[in-house]
Amino acid sequence: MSAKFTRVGVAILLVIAASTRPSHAQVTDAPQVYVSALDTYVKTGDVTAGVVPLLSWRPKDFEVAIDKLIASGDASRMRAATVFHLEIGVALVGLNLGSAKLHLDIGEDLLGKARRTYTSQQALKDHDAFRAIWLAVAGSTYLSVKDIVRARLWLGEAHNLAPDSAHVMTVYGILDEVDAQGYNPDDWQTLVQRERNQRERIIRLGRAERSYRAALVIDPHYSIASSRLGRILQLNGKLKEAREALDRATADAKGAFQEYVAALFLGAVQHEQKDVESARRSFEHALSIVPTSQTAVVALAHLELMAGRPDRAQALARNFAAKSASDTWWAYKDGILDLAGLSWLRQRVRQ
Amino acid sequence: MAPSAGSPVKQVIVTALVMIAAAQPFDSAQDRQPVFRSTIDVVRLDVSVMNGLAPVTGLTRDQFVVVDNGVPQTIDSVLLENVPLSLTLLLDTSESMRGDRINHLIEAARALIKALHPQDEAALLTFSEPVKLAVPMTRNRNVMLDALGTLTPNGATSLNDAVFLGLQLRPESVGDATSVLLVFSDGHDTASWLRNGQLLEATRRSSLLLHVIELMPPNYAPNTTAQPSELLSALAKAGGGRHWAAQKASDLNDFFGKALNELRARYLLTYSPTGVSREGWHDVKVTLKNARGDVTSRPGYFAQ
Repeated sequence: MSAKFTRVGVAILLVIAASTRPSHAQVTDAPQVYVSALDTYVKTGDVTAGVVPLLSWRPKDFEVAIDKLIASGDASRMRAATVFHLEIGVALVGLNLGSAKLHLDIGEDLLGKARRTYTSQQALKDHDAFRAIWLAVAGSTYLSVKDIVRARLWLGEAHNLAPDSAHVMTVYGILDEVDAQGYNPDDWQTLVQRERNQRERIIRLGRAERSYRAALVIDPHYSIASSRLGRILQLNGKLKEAREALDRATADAKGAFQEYVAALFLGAVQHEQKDVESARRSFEHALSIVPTSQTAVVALAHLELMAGRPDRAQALARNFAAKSASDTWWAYKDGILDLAGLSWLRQRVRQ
Repeated sequence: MAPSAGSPVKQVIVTALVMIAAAQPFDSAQDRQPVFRSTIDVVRLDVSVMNGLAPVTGLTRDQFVVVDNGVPQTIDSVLLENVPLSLTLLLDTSESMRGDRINHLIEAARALIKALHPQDEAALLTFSEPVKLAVPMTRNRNVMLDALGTLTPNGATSLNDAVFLGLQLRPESVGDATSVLLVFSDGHDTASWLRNGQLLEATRRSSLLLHVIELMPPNYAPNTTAQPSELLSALAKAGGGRHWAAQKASDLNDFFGKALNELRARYLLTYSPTGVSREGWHDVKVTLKNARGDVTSRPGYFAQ
């Protein structure tokens, strides 16, 4: 599915709609409009096109339409709707957490109700596998805006549903890794606070490392787990091991996203090892995959500055500034959003 | 079960291309040159001298003492006032700025822009998680005022990455103008690639004067006073500027005014380093003789 959503696109449309529609107007044919929008999304893979007819909807309008969909017992459409609302939640989370939460809650509710339509063991098993990935993506969506509490809740549920999934195990590890960022040993007012930050950070990084290693036991070639493991090892100062893990991640990478994350993290390790030439190649590779990645630009420009090439650092920043009219790249910052899971869900809905 | 990544990167690239089409190029004259190049012939120091809240004016070259890596230097010139500003505003528009906080920020920034002299120029960078050049360097006040009016808070805080990019985006040459990055933020970094130490080192290597205005977080425990950020304080020090911490958003107008007053009262000292190694980090200390005042300047510079 070639979903072409953009947070910005969706948000702009929502704002426009909100400004043009009478505040008390009600959607008279909500169920039909909703199904039509859903079918557009499934057919085109374009969540922005799908969401257009729903722009001015209030929560009540969704409630009416979704009740009707559930009553229809159409499992296929219900499943598609869960991904539709997930995509909208992903698109909105950095702009309006409340709206994002509404759509993620709708999707999660639909997932539970769709399960009741399945009767065979195989169908239930298949649905639970789908649900686990859905929950992992939703959890990572909260994680991408550092909403650790909600992320932990949803990822915990995903983990319970699929304890032997390398994918879910990896996203669970990312949760602890991001949580650890909240305990910055550089950021303290008292010595007690500094010690506490260091202690809490080590605990969380340790948990993340165990999750990634467990994921690699399940699937030794799971590139994202290798990437994240490499990152953790780097943060713990184990640079040689980190580089080995990231070399594995690079070799096992499937698709541009995994390759991008591996290149970014590998560059960071190489830079710390003072292997400037290799680090430069890695960051340039990351930038070639995602040309307007803010993170790749910052990483490469920082390397150039430290290597005594301030003119190159400035040129990179200027080139980036000339292009950065979009905040679309937030998701690629350091691979927190579970894009692999989202892509898998899209494919399943299109089948 | 491990889903494959598919092509989300490519999908977003398509989107990004659309957005790129609407982007404005960064405005910079072709003939501009950086102040610090591979060899340092002349060092320029922006120096503030304050007596309490009042700037100390009227100082002469003979009243400044500059020591570069422990070696006293001969000051070539001292300029005061009437030095135009090349000001980059770097404003935090993350989610925590919602409500009155963003309105007070907009009001304060607009007042500052209106108070600029005709020869001053300004640019606007905003950041939450992404960093955006909203207005390239310009003397057109209306463009800046309009852009400030559209600021909308959302997202996480990439403070470190934003400051780093702000430093790299400095104008290539500003002539005799004082090039300043004025950073505003209300929170701790939550989303950057660069760590604090990396940012501070990058700031030390920059020739840009850096001031910071901080707004205390909105939700701290009752009966406690939020402490100013250690990082922001260190950042201002590394950038040779000052760090102001506002306890409430309604104070921002006052603090932006103070920042501008301070910028107007700066001395521009120049000297040709003698008796010191040309390469590497140079510790620079500026003091006064036969005069009283609190001197603020960059802690040094990096020569290659």
